[in-house]
Amino acid sequence: MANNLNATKIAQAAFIEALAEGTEEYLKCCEQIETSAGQLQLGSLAAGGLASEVTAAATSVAASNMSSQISSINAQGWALKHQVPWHMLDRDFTLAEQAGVKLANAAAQNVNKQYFDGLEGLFTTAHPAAGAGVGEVGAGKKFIDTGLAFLQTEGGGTQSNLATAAFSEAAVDSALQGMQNYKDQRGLPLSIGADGGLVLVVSPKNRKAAHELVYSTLSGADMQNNTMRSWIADVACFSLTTDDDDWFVISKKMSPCGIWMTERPSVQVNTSEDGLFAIFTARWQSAFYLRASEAGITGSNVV
Amino acid sequence: MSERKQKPREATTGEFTLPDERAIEAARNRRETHKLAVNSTKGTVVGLDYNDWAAALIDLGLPPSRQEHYRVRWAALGWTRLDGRPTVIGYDRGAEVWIKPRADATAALDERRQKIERLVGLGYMHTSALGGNVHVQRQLGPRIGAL
Repeated sequence: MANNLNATKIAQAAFIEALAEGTEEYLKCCEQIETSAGQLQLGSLAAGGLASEVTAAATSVAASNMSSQISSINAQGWALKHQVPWHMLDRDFTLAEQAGVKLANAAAQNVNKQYFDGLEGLFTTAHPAAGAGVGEVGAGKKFIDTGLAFLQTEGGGTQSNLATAAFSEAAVDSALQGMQNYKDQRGLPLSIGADGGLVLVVSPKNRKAAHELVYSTLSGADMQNNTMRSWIADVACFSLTTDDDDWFVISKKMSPCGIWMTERPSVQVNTSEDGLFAIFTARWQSAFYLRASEAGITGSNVV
Repeated sequence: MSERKQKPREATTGEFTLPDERAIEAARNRRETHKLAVNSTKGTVVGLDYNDWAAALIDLGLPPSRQEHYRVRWAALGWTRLDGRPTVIGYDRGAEVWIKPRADATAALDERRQKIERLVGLGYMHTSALGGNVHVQRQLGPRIGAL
C-alpha cells in the first residue's frame, strides 16, 4: 500500500527525469542568467565609437560622450499546485508519478512560454532606454521598432530592428543585412551574426520553411550555395499566441532578452494539516529580462 | 580548333548622344526623390515615404499558396495592395507591396497591445508579454565629453 512518504519519493524521482528530457527551446535563443537576488540590474555602457586620429602635430584628443543605461528586473516566483484526497493515492498507483512528471513538464514549459510570450510582446514593450537624451533611443520607442536612435543629440542617426514582411528567404536576408549593419550607441557597426551564431525563431506554421531555409545545402532562390548556414546556427520553434506569422532573428551571444532563473523548478508532495489531502506543488523563480540595448534582435510583425 | 560558327559581332561606331539639359535636370530631380535607393536596406520600397506609410512585403518567390495566405490575411488586417510596379530592394524574384497609413499601423499596434493585455488577463499569456517586470531605471553617466 502506498503512503504519502512513498509518493513523495516517486514524484521527485520522476521530476528529475522529466527535466533532463524536457524541451527547453528558449535556451537556443538566449543566455540564461542564473543568480539569486531580489532584483537584477543589467547595465549597458555606450562607449567606444569611431576613433580619432592622433597626428604627429596633435597635442590633445577630444573625449566623446560615454553613457550607461540600466534596466532593472524584479524576481518573480511561480507555482503550480494540485490537491487530491489521500485515498486517491491508494487507488491509483501511478497518480503520484504522473503528477510529478506532469508538473515537471509544466514547469519547464512555463519558463519556455515565459520567454516566447516576452518575445511576442517586444513590438509593444517600452524600450528600457526610451528617451530623448544622450545614449537613449528616442522618446516612446518600443524594444523592436523603427527609428531607434544612436548618437542621439550628437548628430547620429536612426536604425530599425523591425521588419514587416511575410516569412521568406529574401525577408530573412533583409533582416541579416540590417543586423550586420546595426550600430552600437556610439555609431560603430556591430556586424551582428558574423560569428554565425544567430537563431531564427518561428511559429510551427513556418517551421518547415524555416528548416529548409537554414539547413538546405542550396539556396531556394537561386540554387546557389546557401549562405544562411554561415549566419544562422539554429531554428527555434514555439507556438506563438498573438500572431503565428511573426518571426525573429536573435543573436544568442548578445542575448538582448532572456530568462533570469533565480530558483530552478522543484516539486514537492506534502500532506495537508488535517492529513486528508496530498498536495503536489512545483515552484520556481524566473523572470523575463530585457537589456537596455536592443542590439541583437530583429523581429517581423504585420499588424 | 572549334569550327563553331559565331554570329558576327555588330560593329561599334563609337557614336553616342549626350543627354540634353532637360534630361540632366530630370536625373537631378530623380536623385532627390529616390534618395532611398542609396544605402537602403533590403526590403525598402523605393520612393515610398515611410513617415506616412507602413509597407509589408510578400516575396513573389514564395509558393503560390503561401502568397495567397498572406494576401487574404493582410487584406483582413486592413492593408491595401500597392498598384503599379514598385521597386523593392533585395527581392530577387520581386515583391508584392501592401501598404497602410502609418497612423493606422500605429493604431493596430495599440490594438495588439490591448489584445495581449486581454490574453494575459485570461491566463493565456505570461506577464512577460507586457514587459511589466522590466523597470525603466535609467542611469546616465559617467558622461565625459564636449557637452
